[in-house]
Amino acid sequence: MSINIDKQKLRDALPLWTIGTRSGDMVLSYFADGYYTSRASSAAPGNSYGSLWTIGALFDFGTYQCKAYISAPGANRGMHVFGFEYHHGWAGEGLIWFQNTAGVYGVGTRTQVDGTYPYTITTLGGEDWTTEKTFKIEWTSGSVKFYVDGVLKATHTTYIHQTPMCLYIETFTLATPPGVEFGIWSLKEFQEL
Amino acid sequence: MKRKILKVKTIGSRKAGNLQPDIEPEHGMNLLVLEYNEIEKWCIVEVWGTDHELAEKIVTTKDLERISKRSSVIAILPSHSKSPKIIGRFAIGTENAEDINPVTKTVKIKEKSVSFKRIEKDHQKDIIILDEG
Repeated sequence: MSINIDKQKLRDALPLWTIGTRSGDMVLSYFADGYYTSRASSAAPGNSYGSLWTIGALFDFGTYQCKAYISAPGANRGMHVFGFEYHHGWAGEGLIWFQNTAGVYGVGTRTQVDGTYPYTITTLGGEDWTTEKTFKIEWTSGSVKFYVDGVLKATHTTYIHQTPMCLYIETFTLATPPGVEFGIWSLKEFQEL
Repeated sequence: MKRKILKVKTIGSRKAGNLQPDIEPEHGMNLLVLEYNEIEKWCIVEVWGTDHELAEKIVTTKDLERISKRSSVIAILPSHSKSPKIIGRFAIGTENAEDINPVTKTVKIKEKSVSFKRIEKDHQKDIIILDEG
């Protein structure tokens, strides 16, 4: 049996920065309808997570933007809407991210310091990302600026990672299953500015 | 946690995608924007940092007073309705933590005994909240 592959179509479908996926128990990550998506079923158990990330750490200091929205933020679930991670799955080694965890919006920066994994999180009040927003990260060696829809929300000057990282999104359940479907529809129109 | 609320001039615009306060926090400080007035071109920000001994850069009340004297600062405010009870946190993974004592709220990290606020269950690993507020 042979399979015919249209190589040009395959090349068109795969971006240069090939995406890796992690789909945990009832938490799925996929590409559809123009969105890279990470989505949890209402049957997802506790401590299950799914994510998409670029295999290569291709993103260095710079300004990056994408469009994204989340569904059903709330207790017992978390969503990293748009961010960069040094080694996906080893968050302590380097991270810049927008999040909604347990219903609370926030942004964070993290990097490894002398073998320890400290980080800073700022709580964002008055946010609603359940309709599509434009998220922007301005990352320099000394600070990270977090924008939503063209306005600065927060600036961090601590625990700024200093080497190129992977682009990622992630959806996860906390210890107690939330029992509702939720997820991120993200990375639409991702670009370096 | 050390915090200060400031009324500050803005630069940029929403249309250009870069509306922001005309102030850059010093190393160790972080900044949260509480409110924008796009017509009058000012905003309310809260600058914050930790004085925890493990911090990358300790922020003191004096440091926040210094940044409050920048030329773009219009006023220092005692409070603001959108100022969150907990503006942020300084935390660390448990990978290097030894002798976690929940009674004295101390933990040994890299041979150094330091204070912490609480331990939180993360989705993957426990984390130690060294400072929050």
